[in-house]
Amino acid sequence: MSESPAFSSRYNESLRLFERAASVIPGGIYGHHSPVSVLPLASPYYAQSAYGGYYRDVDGNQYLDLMCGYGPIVLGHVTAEVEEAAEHQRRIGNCFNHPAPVMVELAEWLTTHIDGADWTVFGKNGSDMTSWALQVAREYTSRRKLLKVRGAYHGTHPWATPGHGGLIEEDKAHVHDFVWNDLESFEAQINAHGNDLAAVMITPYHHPVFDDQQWASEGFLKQVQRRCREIGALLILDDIRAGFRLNTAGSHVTVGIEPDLMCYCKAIANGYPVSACAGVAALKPAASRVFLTGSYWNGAVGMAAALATLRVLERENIPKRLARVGTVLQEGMRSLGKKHALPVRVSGPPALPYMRFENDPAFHRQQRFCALCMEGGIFLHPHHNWFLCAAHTEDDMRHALGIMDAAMGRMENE
Amino acid sequence: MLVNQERLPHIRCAMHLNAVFASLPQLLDELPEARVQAEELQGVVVLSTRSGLHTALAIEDGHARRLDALPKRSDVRIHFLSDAHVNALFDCRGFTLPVLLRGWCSPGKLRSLRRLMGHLECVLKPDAEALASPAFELVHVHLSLGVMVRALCELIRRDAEASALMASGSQGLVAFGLLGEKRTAWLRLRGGEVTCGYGDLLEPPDAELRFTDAALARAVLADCVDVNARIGSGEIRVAGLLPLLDNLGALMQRIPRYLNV
Repeated sequence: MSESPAFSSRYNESLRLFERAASVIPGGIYGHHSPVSVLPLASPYYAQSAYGGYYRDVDGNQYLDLMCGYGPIVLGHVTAEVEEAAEHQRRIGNCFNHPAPVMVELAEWLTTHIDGADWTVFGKNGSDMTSWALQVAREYTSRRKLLKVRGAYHGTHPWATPGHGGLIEEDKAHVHDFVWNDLESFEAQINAHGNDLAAVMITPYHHPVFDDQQWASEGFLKQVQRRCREIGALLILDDIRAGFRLNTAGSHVTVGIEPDLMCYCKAIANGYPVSACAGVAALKPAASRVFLTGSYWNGAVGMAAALATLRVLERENIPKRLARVGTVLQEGMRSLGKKHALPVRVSGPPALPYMRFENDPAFHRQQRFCALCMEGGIFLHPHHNWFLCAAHTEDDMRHALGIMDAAMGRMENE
Repeated sequence: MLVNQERLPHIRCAMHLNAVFASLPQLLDELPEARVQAEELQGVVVLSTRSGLHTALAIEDGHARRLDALPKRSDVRIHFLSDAHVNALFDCRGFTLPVLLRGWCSPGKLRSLRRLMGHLECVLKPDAEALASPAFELVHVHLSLGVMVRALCELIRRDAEASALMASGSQGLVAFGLLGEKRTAWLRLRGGEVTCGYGDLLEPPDAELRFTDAALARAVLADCVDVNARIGSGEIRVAGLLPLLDNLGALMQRIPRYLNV
């Protein structure tokens, strides 16, 4: 570990703001945006502005944004059609005593377009929806247990949080893990808890941090679904990370399953705070009995933005474009690994790619690579999958590959 | 993460014996005046309890090493009636003396041991005046980091929740120390086994946490610092397998609740 501060003048204003923040905000910056989770001293901490597929930090450095706000920016920063819809709604009002008509329109859009959805509810964050979906499953089945995949992230609420603070044993007493793509481990949990199992919560593919992304092996998801049906447990799809980037009808269509409940957030409103849970008709009475509200949960501006975002996603078949552009990046990264004799592992769908180095179990090489890429002008994460948006072009990906090429070249000589 | 109240006395006792008392070899490496004292104490010293916990040290020529197994023969053996009895002694409360099974005819050795324990206490619980010396502060931090990794080992071995947490996450070699110093406290988790120590690392760590100065290290060990903010500001450097550090960090915060050092 270097003795001299790696922090160059490149991030001085970020550090100045952070020092102010640290005196009034626990951790300075908390959650997944915390420097602790990214690259302390070797990454920007604060953003100033953004447009399209790029953003600028508070020091004036510009980045090709390969994290897209950790997912919400699916069309591009400050996309005109979305901003106009939001602005129109803002002018006539946002937070009323009642829902606005746009809520009905949005629910109609989602139930029409999401495969298998008969109804929809709204929240503000992904955690709101995964927790509520679990409650609906418990209400419907009169059972307590939830099975989830080990290492899968389902939010910040006590039953799900990967954090350690403020928890008591009971918070996770009815949440049990099985291993992705391991039906034996899944069956063991079914045998242990089947009679009391309210639901199994899965993601369309496994996207843990500090690991490769993994597609389901042949028959895995189908078998999970089949067993849920057999024992009367619900299948909940947490599509918060991938939803609408793979398929505007929901990622379950892409991976071939039919969940009972589907949770969305991130890409739904291009950066405006909206989350949603869609479900099948049989669950509607139970869903109506599970209390759901929040001070801003009927906020009309976010819903107007969501409706505009979803319309663009479908009209312009954005998932197809993301797959095409992302493939340029993924194939380019594989080639760079060979060129520099630094074998890489490229994983995940092209719209949400991730790359790390072979033989780098402690991520030291990965952390160095990402720090160099940030210096070169790409923002990407060393430990978390990346996100593309519709504003990214194939030329942007070639630009990124040029910066990655230079970074790997420097690493070869270190 | 909460402290396991039911197992608290047993885990505290294990920490007192295997983390605090077991740091005597490191004390002798760090502190010349303690070495002089130890030269009068040659032989094997054992602290044991009725619950079966024990720590044995072989002391020779001013240096000490920990013995893995309880030796058949010892020069000084002090036996405690219970885990709580050990805890009371290390907390400096209670008046029940332990049973001296071996060494009653060697009062010089007992005096030396008592003085060595006094040195240990002075280093681990220093007063402000002592800490004003940068050299002493460094010794204090080195020894405290050593106690911390040994205490973490005890927690992982003996607390089901801590053990499950570490088993479920990343594994590897972790280094804790001051930036620029080669000697570090280390802890290795591999294949369900946990080991620890203090010294030069023979292989690169999978994760490391380095303090830019000793005062900050002291504050972190006392759990009175916003660690994430200090990492962001660069006063604490972290690298490598961060989930491993994160899990150990959650356990580290519990150590002051077990150990009054």
